[in-house]
Amino acid sequence: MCAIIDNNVRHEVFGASDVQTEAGEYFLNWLENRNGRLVVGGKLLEELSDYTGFGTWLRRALVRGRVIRVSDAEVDTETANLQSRNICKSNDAHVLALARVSGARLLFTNDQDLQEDFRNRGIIGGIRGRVYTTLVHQDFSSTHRSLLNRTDLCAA
Amino acid sequence: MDKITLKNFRCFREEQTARLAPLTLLVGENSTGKTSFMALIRALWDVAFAERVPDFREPPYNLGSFRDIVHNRGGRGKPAESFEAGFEDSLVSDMDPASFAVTFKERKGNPFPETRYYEHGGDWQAVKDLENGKQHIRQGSLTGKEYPVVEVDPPFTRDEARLVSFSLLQRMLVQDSSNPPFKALLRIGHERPFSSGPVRSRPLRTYDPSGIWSHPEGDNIPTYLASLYHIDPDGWQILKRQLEHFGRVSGLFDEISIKSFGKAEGTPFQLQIRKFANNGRRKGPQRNLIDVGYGVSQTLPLLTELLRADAALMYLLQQPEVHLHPRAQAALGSLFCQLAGKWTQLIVETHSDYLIDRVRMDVRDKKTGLKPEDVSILYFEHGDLDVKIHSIRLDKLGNVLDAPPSYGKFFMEETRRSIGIGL
Repeated sequence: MCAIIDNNVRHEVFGASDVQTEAGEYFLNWLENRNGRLVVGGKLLEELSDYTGFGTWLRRALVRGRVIRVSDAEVDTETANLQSRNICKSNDAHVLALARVSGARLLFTNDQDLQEDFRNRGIIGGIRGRVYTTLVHQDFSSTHRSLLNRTDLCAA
Repeated sequence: MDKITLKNFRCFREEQTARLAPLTLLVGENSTGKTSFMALIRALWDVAFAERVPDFREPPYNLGSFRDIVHNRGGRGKPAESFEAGFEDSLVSDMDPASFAVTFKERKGNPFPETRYYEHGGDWQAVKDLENGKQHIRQGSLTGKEYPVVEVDPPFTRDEARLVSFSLLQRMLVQDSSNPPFKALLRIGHERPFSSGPVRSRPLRTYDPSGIWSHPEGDNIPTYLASLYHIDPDGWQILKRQLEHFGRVSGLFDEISIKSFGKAEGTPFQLQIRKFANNGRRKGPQRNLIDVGYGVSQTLPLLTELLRADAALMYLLQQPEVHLHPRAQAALGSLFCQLAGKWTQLIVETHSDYLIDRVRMDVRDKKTGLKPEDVSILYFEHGDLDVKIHSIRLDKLGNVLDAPPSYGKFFMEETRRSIGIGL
């Protein structure tokens, strides 16, 4: 199943122990050792790549099939399309565009506007998006667990 | 070959199918059967195309006797009584893929291909070699028609290493109109797969010419190069350019030459290597092969076998990256992408992420004509006393598809630790 990590939680997944959360650690474990696949492409990939160590992880994960790379051009086109329609509450059209292009319907983010947009079928189309967040629980809750156990959150 | 099936062979108990492609990379931890898998491919080729009893001890492989080869889980369980293998091959015919299957049983302590089954163009034939020397033959079509069973007594003295050939059976049965035409399993270009071991022969300061026949450790290569230099100067120049191109992109060397101690073929010679400096502005001295890094002398035999004009159709290469710097490992990946295609099949056992990643990138970036479907990554995963083979694919963006969670788990854990995630 494929998922997207928003830039505002990258440290919770890929950070050292003082910033990594338990929910983030489980998310990473799901990506590395279970059926999770991280989707990357477009502007979000540039943002994530600024984070120390992410590039190294990404390179290894690409070779090992833990990451799905999506065409930047397709994401950029879709981003422009969403922006021209002016339907997003958040300023993260590039994240929503990545979901539309890749079919990923699980998003790890703490941005509430983005969460609302991601759950909006009128924006991302197809299967309704689900949000993995640590706004309420930073530990690994039953909600987190059930999200990672789902197998239907990939529209591709 | 497009697909390999196997059952009860070495560490592979259950029947499994592995997808082969023009470029197939075998990956997995040590002792997961990758080398055995390559030995099986050569053995299948020997049975199907050369119609000979395969020798599982022939270098570079040494799988031992039947008891060492047949699956054995140990403990109270008995070893299996036979092992089975087969392949599909679309190169046999452009029209329909042919499939071949064989059951090996023990004969005089060694594996013997007792039953051979061949299917092509809607017809099938099965030959069983009986212990009394006779052949039991069945034929039919996939629509369900089956012809009467025929038992023949080959009119020649049996060579124990030879099998009764399908083409001979064709001639023997052609007079009997109740049987369909018996088709031999013919493959365009009939060279045996080239098999290399993980270790190549040590370089010498001066060579005395010896045999030029293929050798798994590359003993023949210096003599082959010197022979080409003497008797086919144009061929030598072409090969020299190709070797030097790889030498440059891999960072191994810029120039290779032969220093002969006489004008005639058969005189002693030395192999010389030169590495340029300052982007080629300074050429530097020529050095004997033995005086440069081991990576050069270990790679040269492999490169020569791959690039020579009379290249094989299929290569079975074990760890071609040994002794090479990551830059050269990656360059090997690119070379494989350039060479693999319809008429050259490369099956490469590797532990090199640099090589695998270069293949992934070259396919994505369309550096060669190799398409995503032309690459197969076979991941050999340890299970409970046996091994499972996963066929992993690439897509056009270079994404690795169908990788099980255990694929590369060690590398991911090391990477996580290396960059300090969770520290």
